[in-house]
Parts: sequence; C-alpha cells; structure tokens
Amino acid sequence: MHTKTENVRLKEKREWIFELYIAGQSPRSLQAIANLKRICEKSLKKNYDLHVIDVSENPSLARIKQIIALPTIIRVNPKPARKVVGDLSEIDKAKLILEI
Amino acid sequence: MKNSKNGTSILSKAATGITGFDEITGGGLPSGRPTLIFGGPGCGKTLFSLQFIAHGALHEGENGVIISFEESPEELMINASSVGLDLQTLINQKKIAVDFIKFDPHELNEAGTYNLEGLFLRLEAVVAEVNAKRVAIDTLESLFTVFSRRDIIRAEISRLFRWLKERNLTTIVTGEVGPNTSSNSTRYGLEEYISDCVIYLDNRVENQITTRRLRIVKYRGSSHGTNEYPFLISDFGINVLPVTSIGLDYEVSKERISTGIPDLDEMLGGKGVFRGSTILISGTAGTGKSTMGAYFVNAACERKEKALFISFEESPYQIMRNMTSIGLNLKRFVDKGLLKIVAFRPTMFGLEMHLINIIHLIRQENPSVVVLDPINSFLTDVREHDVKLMLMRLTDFIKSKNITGMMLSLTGGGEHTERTNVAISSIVDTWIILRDVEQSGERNRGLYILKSRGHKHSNQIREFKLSDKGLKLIEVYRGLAGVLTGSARIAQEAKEELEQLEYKQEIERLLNKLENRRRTLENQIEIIKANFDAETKEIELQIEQLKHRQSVLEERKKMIGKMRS
Repeated sequence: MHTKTENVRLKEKREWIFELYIAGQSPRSLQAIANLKRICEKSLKKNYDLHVIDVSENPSLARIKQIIALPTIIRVNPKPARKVVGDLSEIDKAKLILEI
Repeated sequence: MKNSKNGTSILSKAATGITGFDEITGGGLPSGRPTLIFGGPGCGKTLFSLQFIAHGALHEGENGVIISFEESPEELMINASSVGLDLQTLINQKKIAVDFIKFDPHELNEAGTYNLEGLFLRLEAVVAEVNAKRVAIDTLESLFTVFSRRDIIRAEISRLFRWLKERNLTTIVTGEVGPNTSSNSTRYGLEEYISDCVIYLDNRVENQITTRRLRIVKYRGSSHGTNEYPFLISDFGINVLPVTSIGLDYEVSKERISTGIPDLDEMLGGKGVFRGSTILISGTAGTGKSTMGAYFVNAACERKEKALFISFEESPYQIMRNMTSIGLNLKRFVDKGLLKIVAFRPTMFGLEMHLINIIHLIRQENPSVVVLDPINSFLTDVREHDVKLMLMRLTDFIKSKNITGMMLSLTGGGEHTERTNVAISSIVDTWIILRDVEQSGERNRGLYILKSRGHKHSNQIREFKLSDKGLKLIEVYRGLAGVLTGSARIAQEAKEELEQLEYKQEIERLLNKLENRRRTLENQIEIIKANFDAETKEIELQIEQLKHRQSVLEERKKMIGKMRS
C-alpha cells in the first residue's frame, strides 16, 4: 500500500523530483508507479524523490494542478517543469520527455 | 412533450430562460439528459450555455456548474455581464461553480495509456460543491485538440455522457462545427454520442449582414420545429424568434378607432378599424402612403394616445416637415411626448436585429398605434420569405399588446399591387390599396379597400387628392356607367349636367310659354278693357250730349212758355 507520498530520502534536496498523480489503486496506477520507479532506479539511482498523489482522495489538487488525465507525471525538478500523461508503458518516450 | 403514445412517461424539460427557445421546444432542454450545441466560432454557444446555467440558478432552483475549456472565469464573467448576468454573485451565493480547465498543448506529452479520471473527479467535486442539477461543458471538443489518443478520448466521452445521465444532470456540451460547414456536423463527431438533443447555431453573413440562426437538428421524444429560427444576441442575451411564438390566441378588441381620415373611416363601415388590428397600405411611389401613416398617428395623438412612427426612409425631421406641407403639425405631439418618430436604415442591421429593435422600442414606448414606413425596405435583400416571417412575428407581437399597427408598403410601378404583397396579406386585417387608376389616357390616385376583416366596408374605388389642406377623398361618381375617376368622371358629370340643363331649360321654356300666354291673354284683356273704357267714355259722352240737348230743349220750352204767357 502506498501512502500519499513515497520517497527515499538520502539528501536534503534531490536533483530529481517527480509528482505522480493517480486515481486510486487501479492496475493503471500501479503500472505507472512501477514504470516510473523502474526508469528512475535505472538511470537516476537513488538521486530522486517520487511523490505519489491520489487525486481521488483530494480532487481539488487536480483543479489546482490543472490535471484531467490520469496518471499524470510532473517533473518538478529540474526546472522547467515537465508534464507527461500516461502509464509510461512507452518507456523510451517517457524518458525522452522527462529527459532522464 | 409526449414521449410515448400512452403518455405513461412524459419527457420533462429544463427551461433555459432563453426568449423564444423554450417556446419552440415546448419547455426547454431534455431534463437530466445531455444536449449538444454546436456551431462556428462566435455563434453564441457559450452564451447559450451561460444563460441556461444562470436561468436554472436564478429562476428554477437548479444550481449549475460550468466546465470551461476555453474561457477563464474572468472571461466568462465579462461575457455574462454583457447580457446582464451577474455570474460573480451567483458564484458567491454558491449557486454556480466554475471550473476552468486550462491546457497548454505544448507542455503536455503522452507516454502510454491514460484516462480522464481527473476530469471526472473535478466534475464530481464541483457538482457536489453547489449540489448542481445543470452542467455546461464548453467546449468539450477541446479534448480532441489537447490529447492525441482519439480512441481514449472517444471512450472517455462516452463514459462522461453515461456518468452525466446516471446523475440525472441536465447538460449542455458545446462543439465546434466541422471544417465543411455545409455538412452541419461537429469537427470530431460529438453528435454521435448524443441521442437526445442536438442544436445547431449558425452565424452567416449574407449581403454584408450577419444573421444568426438556430436549428434543432434532433430532439428525441419531443416535437419540435424543424425550421431555422433566427436569433439575436442583444443586451438581454439570446432571443430566439419563433415563427409564431404567441400563437393566435390573443384577445381581440371590438373597439374601433379612426384612421385619421374621416372619409376613409366612412368607407370602413363608418367607424374606422378595430383597435389591435393590423392595416396594410400598399401603393406605388408617391401615392400618399406616408401621409396616411401620418394621419393615423395624428389621430391617435389627438385622442391623447401614444403613437410610434418608425421610418426606414426618412429622418424624423424630414417627416415632420413634409407633413406640415399637407397641414399636419406632428411636432406639437412630438414635443408633448405623445408621438415618437424613429428612423432606421434598413441596411443598418440584419432583419432580426431590426425586429428586436422594433420590439424593444415598442416595449419601451408602449404606444397604442405603430406605423412602419415602409416595410418593404427590407426587401432590398431578396429574402422575401424571411421578411414575411419577420413581419408575422412583429404582427403577432403588436397584436398581443393590443396595438394597432399600420404597415406601409411600396409597390413597383409595373408590378401587380395585389401580387407583390401576397406574402404578407394573410397576416393583416385590413388592406388598403392606393393605386394609379389609368383611364382615358390619365393617371389618377385611387384608393380602395381590398379586405377588412370583421366589418363591412365599401367596395368603391375612391379618387383622392393630396393638397396643402391634406388628403381628401373625392365624392365618387356612382352612376349607371360604374365608378369613374379623373376626367372620365368629369366628362360623365358634365354629360349629366348637360342633361340636367336640358331638362331645366325645357321646363323654363314651358314656364316662359305659359307666362307668355298669360301675358298675351292679359294684354288682350287689357285691350278689351281699354276698348270698353273707350266705348264707355264715348257712350257717356253721348249721354252727356243728349242730356245737354235735353236740358237746352227744356230751357227753350220754358223761355217760350214765358214769352207766351
């Protein structure tokens, strides 16, 4: 089970910060989490933070972040922010967009 | 209204509050169902949605949410305030909630599959926030421009409509018209998802004049007009102009009012026209139509009633000046506020804009009589049918207000007066025709009443003259030779005068003869009398002489007697 945020803290501030917006524990949500983790572990080692946010628990976040498609991944750091929608099953495309 | 023949299920409707629209749909949009409204840019679909939501919140006790893909809440508020809707207050009162879905297609990338659960969550949240019964999604088709996976978007839109129907939300979704505008379909085929109600808004430019039209493409379970209904966006929002919104059930008056021309009132059964009826006066150029209109408003003002004269040809000043030349002083009524003269250029706006302007003006002034001079200025653009519809709507409107209307119509010289106005004849109650009567090589002005519903009227063609003393109907020649005008009338009258004279002379002759006879007789009597007098005198003289002789003889006798004694 995931809590609202799942991060691995090694340093005070990571170089890579991701927000992953999902809606409940659907297979697609789990797929997205797994895919993002896999990409990050492989390319960024431990140098990343991953916040998993379930908007079904807090729909106003979807409004604030202007999200309608789920899953949505926002690369908060490094700037500028990048946004990608989908379960990241197209891994190469995902890496390209997130510049990992 | 009816859904099935046995009437077990009645399709309930959600009123939109849009003037005219609720009438043509028998109550509004299908309640608890989605409706698609589509059209080109600027066709008014956002405004339609706004009015629908605001009306629900203000008047139907149905709160609403607006999901806007295109306009920010600020833009929506400006849009709404342009038609007098205060969106901010409704938002503050928690009657309306707005969720602005903002996208930058450039910053959005896709990798793998997704769904639009975020949209559903947001929609659910705003619906719950105000306990909404109505939803407007403007423009749903934006989804296709933002996301590249058509298959996903299509599936999600289907899901959205199911979701909305399950929650019994009366929804408007808007769509853009496809690139082939003549196909009348949305760009991404949104109408495929909506089986209940599809409305098309059109904004076309003809002869440099924009005309907005609304057509109900589909309305399942409800009877609806298949016409294209012109509509306008005015200060009060969208106004759809149904062909006959009022129907034919207005109250009619038995009161009769003067046309301002006593002779004409006389022809109309002696009392003029019914109050609340519509009079058409048609005629060729210069036959005195405007003059008749002026007399009509003049008479109303003299009765202390308010009158409205709408001119499409002349300026108010021009009309007042021209009418002074026939002895009508309209200015005094204008100064008193009884008469209002308004001039519009026919080409200034589209037909519908004219109609709404006129209706607005009538509502504002609340006159008892209205004159439109001339109606066929609108015919400059060839859409005669549209003009008819417009006049029908206007006639319905003024009748419903018990206003007596006079429409003046210019007919071309060579045309058949009766035919050119056939289009509108059915909607008028009294039709007076002014025409040139050509006879014996002359043109004279003739007036006749082609029809006048509900009262008897003269069938004569009356000749009339315009002078500085005004409009005068001339006493007609009504003889065995028919109704005659102009010199034919004069000739006939002269002929009759001659006959009259002959009789008179004959009588005089006979009288003279009698007189002469009497005089002759009297002369003879005089002569006889004179002769008699003369004879009398002669005889008297003889008698005198004889008496003298007698006395002389007596004297002599006495003298002889003296001498002998």
